[in-house]
Amino acid sequence: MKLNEYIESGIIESYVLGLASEEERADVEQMCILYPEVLEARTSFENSLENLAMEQAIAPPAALKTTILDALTPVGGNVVEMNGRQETPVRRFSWSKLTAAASVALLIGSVAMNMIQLNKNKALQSQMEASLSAQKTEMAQLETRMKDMKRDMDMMNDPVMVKVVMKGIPAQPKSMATVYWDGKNKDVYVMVNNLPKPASGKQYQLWALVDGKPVDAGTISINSSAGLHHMKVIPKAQAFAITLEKEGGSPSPDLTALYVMGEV
Amino acid sequence: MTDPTYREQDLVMLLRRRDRQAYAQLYDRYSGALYNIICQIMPDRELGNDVLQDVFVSIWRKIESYDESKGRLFTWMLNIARNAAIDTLRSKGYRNNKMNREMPEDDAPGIGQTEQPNVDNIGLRKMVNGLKEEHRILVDLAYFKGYTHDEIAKETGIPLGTVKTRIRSALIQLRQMMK
Repeated sequence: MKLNEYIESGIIESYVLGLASEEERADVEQMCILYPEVLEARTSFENSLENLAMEQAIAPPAALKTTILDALTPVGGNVVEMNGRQETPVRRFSWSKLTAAASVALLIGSVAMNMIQLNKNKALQSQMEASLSAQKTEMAQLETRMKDMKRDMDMMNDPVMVKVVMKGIPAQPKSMATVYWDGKNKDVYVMVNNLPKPASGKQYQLWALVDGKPVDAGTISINSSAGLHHMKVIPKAQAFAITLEKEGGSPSPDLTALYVMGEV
Repeated sequence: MTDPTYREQDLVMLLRRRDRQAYAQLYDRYSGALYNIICQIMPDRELGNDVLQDVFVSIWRKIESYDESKGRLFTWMLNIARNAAIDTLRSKGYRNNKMNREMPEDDAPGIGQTEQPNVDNIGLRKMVNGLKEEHRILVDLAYFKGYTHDEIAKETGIPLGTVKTRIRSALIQLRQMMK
C-alpha cells in the first residue's frame, strides 16, 4: 500500500530532523494534513526524539541561566565588548524595536560575533563597525518585510478565513498553492507554496470557478517578496485554480496550462 | 495525570505572551536537552554556551513563527539549536581559531572524531555510531555537520541519489533504535 511505503521511506524522519528540502517539507506537511497515519508517524518519531534528548540531557553551567533569562528582557541598547581572550564574542543586541523582525538583530549579533573572533586587530574592528551600520539599514528593510509576514500570518490564522488548498494536477505533482478567502468581505488572498518560476513574458493567474464558469481572480507576481498576494473580491465560488497565462493575464483561462486546483 | 499535549499548548500560549516565568520553565525543562545536541555538534563548550544563549534568544524572538501543525515545540527548538550550532561550527572565524587543534577538514569528511569523549557515546550520537559505516558517515555529515546532499555527494564521490536513499534508510534504522 502506497501510504505504508511513504511512512517507511524515511521522509518523515528526515523532515523532523530538519534534513528535508523545501519541496519535501511541503510534501510531508500536506501528507500530514491528508492522512492521520502520516501525522501519527511524525508525532511518534518526534516523541521518541524528545525522550532521547531529554534522557541524555547535559546540564549547562548554572550561571548561564541568569545570563540567558536576562537577555530576554528588553533593556536599552547594549554593546558588551571583552578584550583579552581570543575566542570572546561581541554581543550586540539592538532593542529599539521589539517586533517580530527582532530575530534579524540576533543575526547581526552573531555575524558580529564571528567577525570579532577572526582577529583582535583594531583595523578589523573598525571595518566591522562600518559593515554593521550597513547591515542596520538592511535590518530596517527586513523589519518591514517581517512586519508584512506577521500581518499575513495573522490573517491566515483568522477563523473568518476559508482556506482552500489547491493541489497540483497529475502532471504537476509538486505544485501547490493555497487560497485564503475572507468569509465576511469576500477578499481573496493566495499563498504560493510551490509553483515553478514562470518563463519571461508569462504570469500565473488565479481563477474562481463560479457555477461552472471561470472568473478572473487576478494575476500573481511571483517575484514580489509578498507571502500572501491580495487578489480580487470573489463573492461566490465552488473552486479555485491557477493557470499560466501571458504576462498581464487573459480574459479566459488556458486550460492546457493548468497547474493547481482545489475545491472550496 | 497531566496530558503532555495539553500542557504544551498552554506553555506555547504563555510563551507567545512573552511570559517570563514560562521562559524560565522552558529553560529548566529543555535547556539540557538542547545543550546536549549543541555539545554533540560543537566540542568547544565556551562557544557551546554562547550558542545556547543565541538559541534561547532566538526562541524568544521567533515564537510567533512556531506552527504547531508542523510539529511539536521541542522539534522546532531542536532544529533552531542544531542550525545555530552548525552555523557557528562552519563560520570562518571558528575554523581559523581551531586550526591548531585537530579538526576534521572539509575535504576529508568523517575522518577522526576528536570531540570530548563524554558526548561521543550518548544519545543520538551513540545511536548513529551504531549504524553501518556507510550509513554512519552520511548521517554524521548531514545531521551533525550540516552538509547538504549535494555537498556530501561531491565530497564522498557517492552519487546524489544514493546519498539520499542511504540517509533515508539510516533514519528508518534510527527510528527503530529509538523506540
